[in-house]
Amino acid sequence: MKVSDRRGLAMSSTGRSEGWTPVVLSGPSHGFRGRLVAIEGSDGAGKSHFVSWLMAAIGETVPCTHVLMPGEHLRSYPYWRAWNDTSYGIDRRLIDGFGLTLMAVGDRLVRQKAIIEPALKEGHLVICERFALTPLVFNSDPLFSEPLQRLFRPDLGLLFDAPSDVLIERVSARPDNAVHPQTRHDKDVEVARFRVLAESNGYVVVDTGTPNDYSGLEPLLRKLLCDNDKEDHADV
Amino acid sequence: MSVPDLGFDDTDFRLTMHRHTWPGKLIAVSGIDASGKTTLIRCIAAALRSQSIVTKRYKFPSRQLKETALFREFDRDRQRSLERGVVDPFGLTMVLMGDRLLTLRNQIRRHLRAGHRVIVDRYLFTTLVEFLLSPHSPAERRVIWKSVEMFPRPDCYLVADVPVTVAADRLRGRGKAEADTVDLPGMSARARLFREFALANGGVLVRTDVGLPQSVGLVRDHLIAAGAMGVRTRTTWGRI
Repeated sequence: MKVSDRRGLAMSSTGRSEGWTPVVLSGPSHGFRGRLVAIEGSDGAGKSHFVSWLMAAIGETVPCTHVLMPGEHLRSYPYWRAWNDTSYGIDRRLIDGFGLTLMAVGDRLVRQKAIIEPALKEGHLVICERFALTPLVFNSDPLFSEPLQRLFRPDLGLLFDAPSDVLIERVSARPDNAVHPQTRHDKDVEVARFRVLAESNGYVVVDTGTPNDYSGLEPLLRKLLCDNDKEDHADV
Repeated sequence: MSVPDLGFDDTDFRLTMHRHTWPGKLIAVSGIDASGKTTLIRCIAAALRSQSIVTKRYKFPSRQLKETALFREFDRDRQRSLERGVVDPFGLTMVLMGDRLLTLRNQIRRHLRAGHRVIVDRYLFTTLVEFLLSPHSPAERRVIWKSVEMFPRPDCYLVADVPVTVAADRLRGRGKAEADTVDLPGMSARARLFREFALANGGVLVRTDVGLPQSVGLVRDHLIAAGAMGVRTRTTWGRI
């Protein structure tokens, strides 16, 4: 997407971010023996499906740590659940988006320190489902983007991407579907923002609009794991 | 320099919270562990209720956050968690502030709109004190201080203040688990920072070791001045 096309990427119904700008992340390299893969994308883009596939493909050959952002503790936090789950019957406009974003960003830093960093030190392949880009899709305010600059630069960043009507259809077809419905406009904006952020931050875009056997990713993954075997960092 | 040996100056303590415009009154009570916050809060609530003023009490962080695994893990051994470097203090501060903001906006605000009195135990200052005492960068401090602007300024800001030796004795008297948390230098640093925040933000230091009548007398005057209670309270305070 050209810079000139990036204007007007404002969400309407969520009201979480007006005047959005794409943020370029320049977080530190982790410098540990392990490898960090960040997987981003909207609900329904196939992130979890890919993680299951990857974990199965790797088997026990490489020690693996799967991290879901935000963590389970925040997902069980009532306001977070109410924001995401219609069954709570709470109008999400009444929930403070600023407070939730503070928690989501803070939680990423907490989990990087507590889980990701030790796993990388141990030489694990850390697969992080949602990382720095997701909060930035909803809010690019420096108050949130500056702390996110502290997150490690992933060794491989993947954006799972599909057209918004496909995403909406997949999510609504889930048997346990209780997520707040998004307007087509907001989903379009979300998808477009993800693409802009992926381009700005060197993420590989994986088209999951149609069935994908991930064969296109295999060389990247092979290289990543190969580098992992070869490198022997001084600090490990 | 206010607290030179801790590396802070006056500007570090001035907070730009916004003034709320609701008819209710927000009363914040802060202080180190065992400084007498709970006793003070009970006295205030009883006095307000004796004037038929609807009074709500909140304690931060919220019960909902305390029930999460993150908080339980951290709270089990707070000091060692930080020392071992397994907890990111900046990230944790953001989580704690987000929780406070959500509780303020989604629960407390409706009481203030309705004209109620809301007493908050450990408002914002506790989080800021803990943040200042943990390693952080100037950029991180800017983010936290900027977030403070989202919070309403309390109408009455009280700091329960006692010599740390008194607080330490109280903790020891509560049993082994609490006695184990006694750390005089740490308590002393926290007490000093609470005082600095009070001085820079219109807070009132309330000694809680000089006898309850004297403590509550001081509080009563400030609550009346803040419009949080009427003047006919002396007998009520006397009964508490």
